[in-house]
Amino acid sequence: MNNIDFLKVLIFAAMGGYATFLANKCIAVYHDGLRPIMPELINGNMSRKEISGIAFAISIGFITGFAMPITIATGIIVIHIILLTADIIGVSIKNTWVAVIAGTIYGGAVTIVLDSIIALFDKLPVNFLDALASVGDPIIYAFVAFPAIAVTYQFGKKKGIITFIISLLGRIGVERINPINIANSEVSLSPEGIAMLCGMVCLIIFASKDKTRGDDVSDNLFADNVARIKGNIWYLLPMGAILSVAAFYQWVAGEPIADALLAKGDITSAAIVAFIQATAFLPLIITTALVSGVYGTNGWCDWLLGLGYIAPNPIIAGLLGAGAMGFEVTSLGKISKFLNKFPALKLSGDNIRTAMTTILEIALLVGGINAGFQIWQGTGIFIVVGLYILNDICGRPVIKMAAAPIAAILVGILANIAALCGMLPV
Amino acid sequence: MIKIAIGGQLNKSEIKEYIEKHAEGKATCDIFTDIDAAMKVKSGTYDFYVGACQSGAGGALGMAYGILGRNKCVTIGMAGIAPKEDKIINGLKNGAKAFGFTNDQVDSAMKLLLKHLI
Repeated sequence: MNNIDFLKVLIFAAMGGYATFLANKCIAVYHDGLRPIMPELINGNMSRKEISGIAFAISIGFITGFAMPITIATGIIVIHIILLTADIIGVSIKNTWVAVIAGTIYGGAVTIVLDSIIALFDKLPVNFLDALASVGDPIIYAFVAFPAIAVTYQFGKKKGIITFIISLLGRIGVERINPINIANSEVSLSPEGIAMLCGMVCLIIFASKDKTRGDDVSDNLFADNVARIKGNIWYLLPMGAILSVAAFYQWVAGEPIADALLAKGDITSAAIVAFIQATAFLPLIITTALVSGVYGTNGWCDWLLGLGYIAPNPIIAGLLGAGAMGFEVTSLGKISKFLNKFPALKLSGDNIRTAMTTILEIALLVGGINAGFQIWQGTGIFIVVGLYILNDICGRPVIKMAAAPIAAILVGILANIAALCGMLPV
Repeated sequence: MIKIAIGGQLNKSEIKEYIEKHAEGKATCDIFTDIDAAMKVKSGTYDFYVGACQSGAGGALGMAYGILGRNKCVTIGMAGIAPKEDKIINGLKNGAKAFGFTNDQVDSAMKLLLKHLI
């Protein structure tokens, strides 16, 4: 094991341990579904055993069925693997020291295990790692459509089509003028980044024209909870720092879109996606924080990571991450007021998330089918499409967006078994 | 005629479309932010709250927990677990007003919900 790997294990161990500490002390949890239930644990209405059962039930699908296959496909850890497990360990084990030690060991060990699985796949008779990496390819181009889809959900098909056309023109225009000369050096703008930016501008213009105003209800209702979170600010800052440092090394992503972009080396777009994710998740994190008095381990998901991607060195990454977490916590009350006043913005966040999920479901299906084909041609397509539909009919025991990537991994394993049995010429 | 407030975070238009298509004129629905939807059910202007998110609990029911109370909320389907009819039946028996499920379960969850709500 070389130095860099050692540092990676160390940082993920710290991430696992510290996130476990925050969950154990009911300061922050990552799962947005667990957060609203946390007051039951704080008030003693629910035992640790009960709540750990809930935490496990709502998290395990995301860990094994969503984060794992994408992590194995790209080699970059999807953060749910660390932070959801930290939630489970933190709420299950009463003794803080024991919990933190367990979380630390898990964080370090899971990194070694995932890297070993990827290294093992590399040595198989049929190497399907490169093919598997292509699972994320369609995401890189498809995610550009999300502003147009979000606008259509919120403001109807006419405005949606306008947004779509403006994004498209932005994309084609950038492809046409690339590369451009700035100060005697050739620079290529990212067509995806510009197209997405054009779409986002449309979305913001349409949302700002919506004159609906909401009533302010959160003020008195949740004042105690806001005070509780603000009182924990010094505990939350280190978490922001650890996350941004891990992101600086491009070891972690908050969801599959940034994950796929990082894997392809498009760091700027990954950072942009992380920032937009934050605007989309902000209402959810703030809402669940207000009703519970427990904060989100990863803040607004995922701008702390985005700051890490663009930071010039790990020290500045850490400072930016901690600073951003501090900004979130101190502005909590103000932002929730602002969101309640402008429901159109809150709905935009919801619609951006719906749009991104819809895109991911299709992009990962296409990516899974592509990977299946690259690994084992027609047999691969047959397996991926067949299993995808079977999963649908059986009530989706595997989350829809993870079904095709998991099927593609299965194709790789089956191809190796077939090769070992002499059924597949290598 | 019952009135359904659509809160939660994801796939709101899809839920609305489903209700309009399948309620046979016995239910109306409107889309709100989660906080508004929960307030409207609390004040009695709307009868039930439904919401979807990736887990079926956090984004779907977070505000309903805070405003209506946890005992009025039921997660009927979560990631990797299909919506269950007995959760709806038991929930209604215990006075539940808010129902959450995941964004990829809109059809199956709303089918069961409409069966028991209208």
